[in-house]
Amino acid sequence: MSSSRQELLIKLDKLAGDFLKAYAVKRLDQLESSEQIASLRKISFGEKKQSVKLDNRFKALQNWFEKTAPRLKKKSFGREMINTISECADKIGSYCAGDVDFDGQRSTLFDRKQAARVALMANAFLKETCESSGYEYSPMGMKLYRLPETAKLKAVELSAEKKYPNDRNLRPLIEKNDIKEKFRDSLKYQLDYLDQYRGTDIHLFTILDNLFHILENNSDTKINHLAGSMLYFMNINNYKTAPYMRWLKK
Amino acid sequence: MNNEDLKKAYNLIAFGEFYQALEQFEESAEIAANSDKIVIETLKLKKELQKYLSLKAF
Repeated sequence: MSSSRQELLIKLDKLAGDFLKAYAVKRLDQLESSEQIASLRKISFGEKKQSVKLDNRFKALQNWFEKTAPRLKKKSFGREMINTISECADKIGSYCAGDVDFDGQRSTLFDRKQAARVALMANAFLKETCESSGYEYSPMGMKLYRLPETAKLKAVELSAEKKYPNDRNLRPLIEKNDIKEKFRDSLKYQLDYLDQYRGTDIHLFTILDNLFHILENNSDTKINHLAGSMLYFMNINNYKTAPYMRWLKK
Repeated sequence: MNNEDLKKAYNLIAFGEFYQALEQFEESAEIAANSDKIVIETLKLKKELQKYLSLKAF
């Protein structure tokens, strides 16, 4: 065997090893997400022994959304997993609406405030998951809105070419750092986020509470902006916002 | 192959223990999911390449 052929085989061996390692990391993320979402389903539907009682169920759910959800890699979620999350969000939401038989526990008392908070967390998680996986959830089901990577790049290039016809080298840099675009994106996120509560009797303070819960566990620029924007709006409408302001400043 | 076995196999791969990972896949009586077949085939290919390369070294 010639040395060039041997080199080629060594390269192929290395390539196979690199592929296997990268794929393994991806699959481990998927397996972890799949297990945790199965666990979320069991808790939501009261299939776990420790979450049969509704109060315990909401505590377990809150714990899941605060501790487990942030460490899952959302890009590893498939359509089936997102569907399960959606089923869970529906089930959790139904407890707040009071339109189900609570698994035969109609007379069981539970902390409705906590239930509302958990329902908000479930909706926010579903929304985040859909967005990062490129799906849009609607009452008609899920649809994929994510463009293939090459199409996305082409779209950015075309828009940059239009805006900066004489500055070919600077185009990508300018596009990336356009603060106006970032601000617009953030405002759009705020509108989308609040849209999910239209027509419900959930108060802005409850939504704010939920945002602070999310911020306690991971810092997110868009959530931070949304919380700040809501606080400012409530402040100019004479709501007492001082404690929240202090927290946000910290 | 259940999730625990799959996790064990993929952890072995992530740590570069390719032979053991292949054994783990082969030990399972059930057929691995479609998405895992490419991994099993690549592991087999890697084993062959290693065998060939180490033989050539002598």
